[in-house]
Amino acid sequence: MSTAQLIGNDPGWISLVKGLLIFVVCVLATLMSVWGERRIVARMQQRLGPNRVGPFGLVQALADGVKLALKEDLIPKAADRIVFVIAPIISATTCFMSFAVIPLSGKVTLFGHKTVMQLTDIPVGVLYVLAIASVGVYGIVLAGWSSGSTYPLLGGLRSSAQVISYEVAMGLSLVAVFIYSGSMSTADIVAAQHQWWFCVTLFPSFVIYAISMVGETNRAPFDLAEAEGELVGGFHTEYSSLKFALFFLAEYVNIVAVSALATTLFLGGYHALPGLGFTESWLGGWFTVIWFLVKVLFFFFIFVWLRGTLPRLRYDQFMKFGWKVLIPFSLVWIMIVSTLRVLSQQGAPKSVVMGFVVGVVLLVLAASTLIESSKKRRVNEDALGEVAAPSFPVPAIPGRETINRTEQLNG
Amino acid sequence: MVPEQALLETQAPVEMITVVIDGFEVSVPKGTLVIRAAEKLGIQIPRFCDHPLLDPAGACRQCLVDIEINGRAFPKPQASCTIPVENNMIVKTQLTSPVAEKAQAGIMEFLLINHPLDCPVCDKGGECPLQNQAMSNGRPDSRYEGVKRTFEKPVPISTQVLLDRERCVLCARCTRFSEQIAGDPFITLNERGALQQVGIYAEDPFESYYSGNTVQICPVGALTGASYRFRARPFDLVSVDSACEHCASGCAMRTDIRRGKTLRRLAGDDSSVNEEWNCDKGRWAFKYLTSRERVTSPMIRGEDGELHEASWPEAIAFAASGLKGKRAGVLVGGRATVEDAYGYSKFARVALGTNDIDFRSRPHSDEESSFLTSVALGLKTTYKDIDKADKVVLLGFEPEEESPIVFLRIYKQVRKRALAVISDAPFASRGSQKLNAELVTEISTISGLTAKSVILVGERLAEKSGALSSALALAEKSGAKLAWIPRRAGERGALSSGAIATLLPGGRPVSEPSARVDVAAAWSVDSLPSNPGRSTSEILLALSVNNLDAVVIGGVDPLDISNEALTQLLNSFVVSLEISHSSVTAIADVVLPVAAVVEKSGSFQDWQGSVRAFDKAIADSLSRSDVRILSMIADEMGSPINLPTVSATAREIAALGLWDGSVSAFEKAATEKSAIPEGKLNLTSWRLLLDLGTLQDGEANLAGTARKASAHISATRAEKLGVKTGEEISISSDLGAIKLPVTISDMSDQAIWVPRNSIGSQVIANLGFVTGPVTVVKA
Amino acid sequence: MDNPLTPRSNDLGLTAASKANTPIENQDAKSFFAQLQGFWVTFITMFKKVNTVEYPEVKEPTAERFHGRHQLNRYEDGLEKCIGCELCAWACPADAILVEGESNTEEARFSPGERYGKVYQINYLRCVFCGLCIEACPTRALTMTNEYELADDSRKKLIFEKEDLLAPLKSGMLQPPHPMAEGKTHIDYYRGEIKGGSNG
Repeated sequence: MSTAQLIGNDPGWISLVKGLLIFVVCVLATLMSVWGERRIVARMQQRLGPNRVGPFGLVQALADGVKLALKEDLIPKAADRIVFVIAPIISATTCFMSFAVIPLSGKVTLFGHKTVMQLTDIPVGVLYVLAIASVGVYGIVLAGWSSGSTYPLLGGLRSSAQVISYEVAMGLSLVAVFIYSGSMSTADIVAAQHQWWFCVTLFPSFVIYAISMVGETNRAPFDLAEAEGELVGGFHTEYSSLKFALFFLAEYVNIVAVSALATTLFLGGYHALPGLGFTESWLGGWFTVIWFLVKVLFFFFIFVWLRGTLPRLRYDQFMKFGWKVLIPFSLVWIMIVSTLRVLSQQGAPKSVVMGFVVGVVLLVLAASTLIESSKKRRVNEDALGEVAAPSFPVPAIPGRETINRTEQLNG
Repeated sequence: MVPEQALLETQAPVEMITVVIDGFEVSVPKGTLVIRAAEKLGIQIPRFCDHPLLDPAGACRQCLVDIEINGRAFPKPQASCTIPVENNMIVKTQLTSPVAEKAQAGIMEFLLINHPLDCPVCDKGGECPLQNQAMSNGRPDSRYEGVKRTFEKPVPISTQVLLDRERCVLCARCTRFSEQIAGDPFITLNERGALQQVGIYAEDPFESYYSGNTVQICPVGALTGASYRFRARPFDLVSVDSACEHCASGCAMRTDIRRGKTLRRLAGDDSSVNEEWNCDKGRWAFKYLTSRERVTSPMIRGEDGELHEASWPEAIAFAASGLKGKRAGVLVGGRATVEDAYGYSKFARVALGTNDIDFRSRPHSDEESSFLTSVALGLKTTYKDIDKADKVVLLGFEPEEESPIVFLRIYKQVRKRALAVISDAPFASRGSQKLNAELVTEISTISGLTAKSVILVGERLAEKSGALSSALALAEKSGAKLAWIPRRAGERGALSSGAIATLLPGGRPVSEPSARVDVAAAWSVDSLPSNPGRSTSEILLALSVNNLDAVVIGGVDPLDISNEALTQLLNSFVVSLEISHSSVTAIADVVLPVAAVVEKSGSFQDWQGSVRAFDKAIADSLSRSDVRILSMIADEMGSPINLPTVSATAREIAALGLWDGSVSAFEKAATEKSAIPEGKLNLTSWRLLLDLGTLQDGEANLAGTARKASAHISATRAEKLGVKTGEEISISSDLGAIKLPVTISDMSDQAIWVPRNSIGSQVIANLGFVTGPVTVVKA
Repeated sequence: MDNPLTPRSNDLGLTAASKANTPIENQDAKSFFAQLQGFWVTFITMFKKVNTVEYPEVKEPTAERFHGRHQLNRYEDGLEKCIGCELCAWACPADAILVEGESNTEEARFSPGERYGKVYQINYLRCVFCGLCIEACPTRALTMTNEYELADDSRKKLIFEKEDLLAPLKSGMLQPPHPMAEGKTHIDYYRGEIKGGSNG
């Protein structure tokens, strides 16, 4: 049976159990993510992270959650109350909803029923995820607007603009995946990676997707909109207590969600590493969940690594990057992929394919060389000409000169 | 350069001399010292012994400058504090002359050779001219490697003043002050050379009512006050200009406060009143606020006869209900500020509808009432008149005990030009001796007075019937200037605020209808009561026989009036506005806490009529002034007086202004010839400056300097009684007796004098009168 | 060890600063893989020894002249050195010290000489631990210990009174008030010639 049929045979209560399990896993994942991020980023900064609350600080996120819940719930006077309350709910629910189509395991037995750990499998599963992510932007933009204050408004606009720009790049990078797997259903995509993972065969797509998933989730180095020094708290400035906790939760669940999507689309989902395929049948098929979690964790670690290493990009810098670099690259790559696909589908001889590939590579090299030289020329043109040494004493310019006072004064 | 012509008080043009100091020209009157001329230019020459109010001494040699007259320079630098200016004089101070600079640094080094390293434990640290001038004009390090000379220290030269001989720089300011200003030469410089030191007679302590001034002018910490010893440092203190609340001299004071408590009071500078001096009582008697049990909340006497704490609204309502519609009197007391007395005055007329108000909490008479109504406010004598007087007559007035700054003023002229002083005291007190006063027994026998003479009448003249009339007649006959000097600070101000039965504020007589209309209009009431009011003794008598139902009492000690005063209050409704618990609060029906002088702003009028205003010294005090409380009671009674703050009251007083209309005529009283019964002596008394007064509570050091109480009798009488100096006699009346040691003075054989309120000599309480016949036997 | 900010020459650290502050325009653009080196740095730092000192389980010892809690010292026989001169209060830039002096009497003597500190308070909420008061004290009565664990939960508890600040009584010291050593004057105390009494 195909996955879709398998899922179709689930009685209602199984779906409920699956839904509940997904919800619990998401929340637990958030708690662990918070803890993990703080500890890992701390180690990257040569310090310990939280280690006081619970053993190794494991209960820290829970304590923070409880603290947030107990805080004073403020709604600004100028805020639109209904929308103000609804906005975090939108944000939080949409990111949970994207888990509905993620295949967490292969065939397993749940309470006597043969099923897969995937809530549902629609033929346009990935499109569904993209759509849900777009709806999630509403949470941000409504939060910013309904706060009734300037910083949230600006932060909300910036955040939403950033998210939708990187969504475009994300979507475009997934087109190559759809072309190669022939379907938008997540189960089919995972199934299509049983030989070669798409991160290998569609490496540029993988790279573009990886970068845009960081931009989509407002994470470093694209986190200007929520950096405290920039716009106070961005769209969630006026939020406190549980509503803020929902945004906090939404961000981390989003991270897990896009990591899960990346795993599903590029890292083969729940499939084991090539060569370790025999492990997929361990624990009655449940071992695939471990594989899935390992891969999601790998992405999460990349997220944290990026945060600990890279400085923040300026808003215009990363919007420029998103629109002027990622999207053109995606478009070019899609054209190449589709050409290759058409060629292979129409049974073109290997030499033609090879020639096409070589041509593309040469073009890329030539283009890059041209760009480099034009940059250099522009730099030289922009450089200031030599300025005559003034007749009055000037301080030494660091890196160029050392002070030689007598020389200066004596002319 | 034409010398300017300047007019001084003598109305004669003064010769001005121009000198050049450090290249700047300055014109000063002839006789000015070089150091003063430099100060006029803003050039500060360091000095220790120089003081503008003391004769120059040239003792410390710190003020050395280079002087050149007529082109010839002095061979060595000169002490600028002893050299008056001359024409064609060129002076170079340390600013322009390296010789003067080196000389001053050298003298400073000399002074510091034997000066102990006491700065951390010395009270003067932080405000020390030696410290400051060593920093500004001295050397940065010392070359002295020997051992400093030491004395035993500190030595108490009185219970109030401590002497530290090691610190003394031998400037002789204290000795000069004591001799020249106070006339008490009990402190001198003894020995010579390095061992020269300030000393006192071993048998005679430094007994002077002005010893505190030596503490203030000592430029180092050699003379320190025992009350302030080690208490604080200058940077802890917040200094506020204030007025003294003790006597009517009207000294300017500087009150130093640390964390809401007065730590010390220094004399302020007012050349027209106290110059830079004050008396020991004004300086040190401020501990009454903290030493007595303060009334902290309003209190009401309940059904059980005990006082219970109550809230302000409760207490005000209770007081109002006890006063409204009742026949009430007001006893202000002699220590109210001008604004508070005005409040009492307005309260009595507007809220109580009566003229029964009096500020005199002391023996008084109707003759005095008439004198105060008709004469006192018109007297325009000032301190300057004493400066220019050719004769001073003291009637019923003992300046050293009752108004010490007046004494200093008279003594200055006595010392300068042997001003003649006449006194009607029964014997020559210490003050009279210092003034070389001539004693007379009858006022009418005084002659030789001119228009420049000054007659100073004290409050005790009221105790002898006809005396005030005689004094007034003497003044009118000779054209001499008359002055009335009460003992307490608030009496003159109370008089001008109308806190007496016969006067309204501003000197307006109650008997003048136009004056009543004037004030009624200003106060926005229809009319003011015209029934003649009663004096203090009459009010008390009326209260005792239920002719009056209620009384509002300010700061009054009944034993100052008579020894029945307290019992006379017992059956009436008493509203007491007091600072601390007293005999009056013990019997009062309502007790309302008022602010002390440091806790409120206000003003006092001195005997000249000059006003000295002062601000709240303790800035965050929540206590209320009398006028504020009276305003609250009046509001509650439905007859508001609209005086919610002291500043509002001051504005109203200024707006009301003085009366320039006619005053009632003075009613003369006949001189009564009091015959002394056979076998009895005529007792007279007055209050010593330092005695058992309430405001001197809590300061044991000050009490230690009080003069010992003794009874003064003549030599003949002593022989008759068979007593010698120092032996005790018993003085008794129908009421009781007191026992005092004897001092023999040159006085009438029929007379005996005792202090009125000192230890062992509380006359009103024990004998029942202040002057009268007593039986005296050896104890 | 080799702190690049420690001046080694007399050029006032300019060479080191100039190296650190060279503007980016002067550098050649690094190649792509050189930029990835940053990731390696953060990754490898994960496995380096952490700089964190896990207080309160681990307490690093303080420097010898550490500015900690103040202490009012005594002479060897127990008399206090503090003479209540208020110089420390005067010097304090944060107005943290309150001193009131008082006279020693023969019955109640707390310090040699005439004067002692009757009230001595340091408000640790104001104190900035600058040590100017220590420099000001003429008798070395006021010194700083190395104790820094002063945190507390109420304002009142952080105003240390004289009894909180006095040095503890060592053996041979007698708790004041008590008279000066037999036949000695305050000068002997100031010269350090007083040894501990045998009063346990």
